[in-house]
Amino acid sequence: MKARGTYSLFLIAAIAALLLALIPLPPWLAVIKPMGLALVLIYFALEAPEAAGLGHAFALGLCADLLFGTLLGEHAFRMLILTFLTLRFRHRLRFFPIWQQAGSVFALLLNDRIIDLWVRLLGGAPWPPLVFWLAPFAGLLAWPWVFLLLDGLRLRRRKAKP
Amino acid sequence: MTDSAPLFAGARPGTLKLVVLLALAIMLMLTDRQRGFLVSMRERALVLLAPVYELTALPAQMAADARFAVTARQSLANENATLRAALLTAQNEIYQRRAAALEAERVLAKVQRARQDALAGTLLRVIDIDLDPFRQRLLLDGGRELGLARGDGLIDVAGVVGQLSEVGARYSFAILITDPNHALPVEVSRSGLKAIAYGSGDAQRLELKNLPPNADIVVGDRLLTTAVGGRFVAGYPVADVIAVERPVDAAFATAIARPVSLLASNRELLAVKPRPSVGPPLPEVDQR
Repeated sequence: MKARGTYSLFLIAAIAALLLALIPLPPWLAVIKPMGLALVLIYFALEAPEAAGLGHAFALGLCADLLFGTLLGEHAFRMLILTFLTLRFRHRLRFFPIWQQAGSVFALLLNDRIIDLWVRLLGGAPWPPLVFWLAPFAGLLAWPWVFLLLDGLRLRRRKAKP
Repeated sequence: MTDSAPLFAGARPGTLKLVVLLALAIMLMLTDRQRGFLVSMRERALVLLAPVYELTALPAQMAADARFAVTARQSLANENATLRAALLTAQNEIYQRRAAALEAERVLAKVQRARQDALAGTLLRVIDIDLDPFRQRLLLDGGRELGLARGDGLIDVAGVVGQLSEVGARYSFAILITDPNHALPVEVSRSGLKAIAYGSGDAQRLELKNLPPNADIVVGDRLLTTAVGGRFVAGYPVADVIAVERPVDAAFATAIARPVSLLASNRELLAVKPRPSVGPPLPEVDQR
């Protein structure tokens, strides 16, 4: 029952992250928009790995590719690596204080950006502008709030369904 | 603690699973890039995704409407005056053009029968969503049901915006002329020089690479579409040249141009079909 509640929260959060990413923002905000789906996947890989596996990362990544019109498989590839790394270092990351955890999230997102850059360059795109590298910083700042929000929601669900 | 997952044991990520899924993702990317046949799959997925896009565009739409509603009367009046002035200038220009066109027609009629197909276009609404700030793509609310097809050109009041890249039944994706994957044959209106304008990924910049070192192009030149390639009707404004570089040590000159259209800031665009070609046959386009 508990796992079920967490699982549905995971799906809702992931879908919400995908939809939020589509909402138009002023250009200067749009370039620093953190990758919401990545943050959601990191959170659930850390706190509820039984809900967020590699299969889910792949499927959600494909959804993102279809929604954003990117090369099919690009987001899937990035989300797979992100989730795998989080799962791999989960036991260490979980016991970090939140600021240190945010630092690790920053490293994960930066790594994600590098993979993204690599895929784009291979695809023939030019070197992106410098603002391209701001998104991980936004992720760093957003992480504590995302963490607290999802943690609150998850624990409330658990209490509701003992 | 009621954590169901064991604290230290288990939850080892499956390396095999990772490898398999990564390989799958790479295969998908390669197929999508090389063959492009996944485009048709995407076009089909657009039917499912369309309501999602409409939903996410809603807040921005409402914000824009609200902004419009509270715009002060004064600014509307100002805008009105500016537009009226612009209209007069444009009208004046139209009369001059019409006169010039008449004359040209008379000349042309002697050479061959002037082809004057009525220029038909379809007005499409731009759905305001953020796809990727580093890629120049748009979503439009019109598709095959309106007779659109992949490759149809898109223009706004000022000039060329882009072309349709994926066409679903009711929605389509467009690629802007500034997308790094886009190239457009252009002509310098003053000298008739033909060139290809490549997108740069920057919305304010088109690049004309590989020009001959003595190419007749200067800052301020207007670039127009040509009928070469069969995608656009000749003569739409594309961009203004803002810089020309002729490095002494390079074999080619390069020009930088700024698009004249509003590109992604448009709320409505006109999709135009290339005129049925009368000239030489078009290059074979692989149907993917």
